[in-house]
Amino acid sequence: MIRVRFLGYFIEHVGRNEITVEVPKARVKDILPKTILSLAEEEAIILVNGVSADMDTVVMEGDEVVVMPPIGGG
Amino acid sequence: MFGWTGNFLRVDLSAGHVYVQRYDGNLARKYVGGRGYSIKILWDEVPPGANPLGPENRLVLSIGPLTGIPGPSTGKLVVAAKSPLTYGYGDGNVGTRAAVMLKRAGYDAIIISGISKKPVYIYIEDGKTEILDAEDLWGLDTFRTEKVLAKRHGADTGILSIGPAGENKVKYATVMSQEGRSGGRTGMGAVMGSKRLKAIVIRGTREASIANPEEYRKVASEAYRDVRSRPGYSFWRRQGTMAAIQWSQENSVLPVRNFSEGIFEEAENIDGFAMEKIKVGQRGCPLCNAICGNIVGDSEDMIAELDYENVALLGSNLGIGDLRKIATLNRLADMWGIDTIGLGVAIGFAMEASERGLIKDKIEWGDFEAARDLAENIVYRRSGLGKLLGESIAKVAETLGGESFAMHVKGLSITGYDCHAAPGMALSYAVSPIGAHHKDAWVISWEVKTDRLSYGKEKAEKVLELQRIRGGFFETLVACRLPWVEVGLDIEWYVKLFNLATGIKWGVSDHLKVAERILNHIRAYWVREHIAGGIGWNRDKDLPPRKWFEKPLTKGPYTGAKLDFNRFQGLLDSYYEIIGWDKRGIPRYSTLKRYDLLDVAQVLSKYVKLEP
Ligand code: SF4
Repeated sequence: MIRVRFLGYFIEHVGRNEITVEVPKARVKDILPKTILSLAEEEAIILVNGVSADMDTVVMEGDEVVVMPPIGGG
Repeated sequence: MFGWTGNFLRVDLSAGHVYVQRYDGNLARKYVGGRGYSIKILWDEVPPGANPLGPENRLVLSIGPLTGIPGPSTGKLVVAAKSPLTYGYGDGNVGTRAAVMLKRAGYDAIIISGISKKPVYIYIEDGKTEILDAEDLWGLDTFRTEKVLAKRHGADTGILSIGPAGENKVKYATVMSQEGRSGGRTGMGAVMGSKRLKAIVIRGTREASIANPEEYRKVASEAYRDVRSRPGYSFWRRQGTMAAIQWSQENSVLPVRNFSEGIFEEAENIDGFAMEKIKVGQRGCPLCNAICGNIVGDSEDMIAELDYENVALLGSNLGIGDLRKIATLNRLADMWGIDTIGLGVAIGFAMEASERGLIKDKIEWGDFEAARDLAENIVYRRSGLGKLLGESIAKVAETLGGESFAMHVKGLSITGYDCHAAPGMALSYAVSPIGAHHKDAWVISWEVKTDRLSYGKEKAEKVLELQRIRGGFFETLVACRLPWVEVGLDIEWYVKLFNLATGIKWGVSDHLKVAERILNHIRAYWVREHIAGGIGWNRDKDLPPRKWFEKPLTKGPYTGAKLDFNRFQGLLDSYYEIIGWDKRGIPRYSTLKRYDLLDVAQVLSKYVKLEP
């Protein structure tokens, strides 16, 4: 299982703050919901297990992906 | 002139004298407004090396061509002076009705000099200005002060005031408005207090004159509509900057226990979702349709405001994981008129000093009561530790020891981002025009998307790019940068509005040139003031706090990360090279010439030999 969590306004675009995907191995962009794909391509910050990654990073069973907009504290 | 009023209001508090000065379009084109006017006035008028709390310092409240004319988030003003905290250039911006009223009263800036013999406030009503007695207001907190003045002069006036922190010259006292809008963390409240100026009340009834009013109105309403249509808009309205708590936690940059870690074990209790559970309303600045102040009930059953910076600094940075208690600290800070960030860094320093046995006082991480008591002690400068902590954290460390964990640059406290694993953000703090502040180059969001741990030149380039837009463009217009940063509003809207307001035809690059002129002028000011004031200038002033180089993170995916001293020096060199400064961080003669600052170069060469 790969856990994908969303932050900030991405939550509103996905409709929930996390999903799980049952694949052994995939690129980040292949497991993101369609509703968020183009926005994510454009501006998402992606972390895999807390470390900077991108849409092409390959993730595996047990990994945690966080997808967030480039928002911030000002 | 269109957009600008062409008038400065001058108030000499020593002489009790007021007059209006006309200025010409050349100054407007060269410096635009806000921060631009501020640096020009401070450079020209405050004698080199002057005491920031003396009569010669100027307190400058300035707006720009867009301020006060309906358009996205144009209800802000810049408050500036030589900083008593850093002895360099100090400013801050405040969202306030006073900004709108200043334009309508017919002024682009109020320039205040001298020191009044007794407490006073300034009342401005269009062309009429009075210096009025404030004996009855002295000692009141900012909320109470504003209530009394609103009752006296009308609730529709714009009011700026200081609280006990400013009166007692706490070096990071702020100027407050509307129970929660604060600005000038570089000690602008202390400068106001030193002048015995309690408040400024403004009523303006005149229409601003703009070059193309019809088209302006049309474009402004389209821009407002565009703000609302951005994909991040509704979430921004829900959480505002509070969404950044979770964001910073995930990215290991949330300040924790005096910037020792980037991850807080109680982050879930203080993040935007926790805030939404206790949120009772929203508050914001005038003319803004993206208002972002979150109103919550605090632990003392009062109404308080929560934003990212104050929750990060008064919450996780102190090990406090209870949002209502953090809200109480924040409300008190606003009432007292003290910078929440500076306060968080001061208390965090005290907690670490206590843990290390450097001070006798027992102040433990997470102890809300102790933090509250200490904050009050700082504001009223009551005894030993509190009195000392009212100074800059640099001075505190000089006195007590503890340089290795004093979190500041040039005396101004670090704001809400831990930089153990973010060299670009550390650079942004290091070379900010006012000391450590994120407002000029909030580069972290971009940095975590790139090669995060790199010290490459691209980081220096990005810092400068953002400094021009955030610290130059927005701070001269004067408009809030947040609809652009946070909601994604295109910067072109502001360029269009500027042209329609002023009748001038400029593109982005013209504004960025002004921005870079101002950055250079501000740097010249720092160098001149530090040399003239006898504290000297060297590039070590552009170094981030030692802790980030010396004490690595011990938690999370970036465990072991810390900044590399030599590589950071390389990054600093890149920045100097790109902006045109020498190895000492001093603008080159040719750079000043390029930005039409030959007069500045001439003065600066009296203090230091400029490289070609
Ligand atoms: S976005 Fe927030 S800080 Fe900016 S003008 Fe609006 S309310 Fe004020």
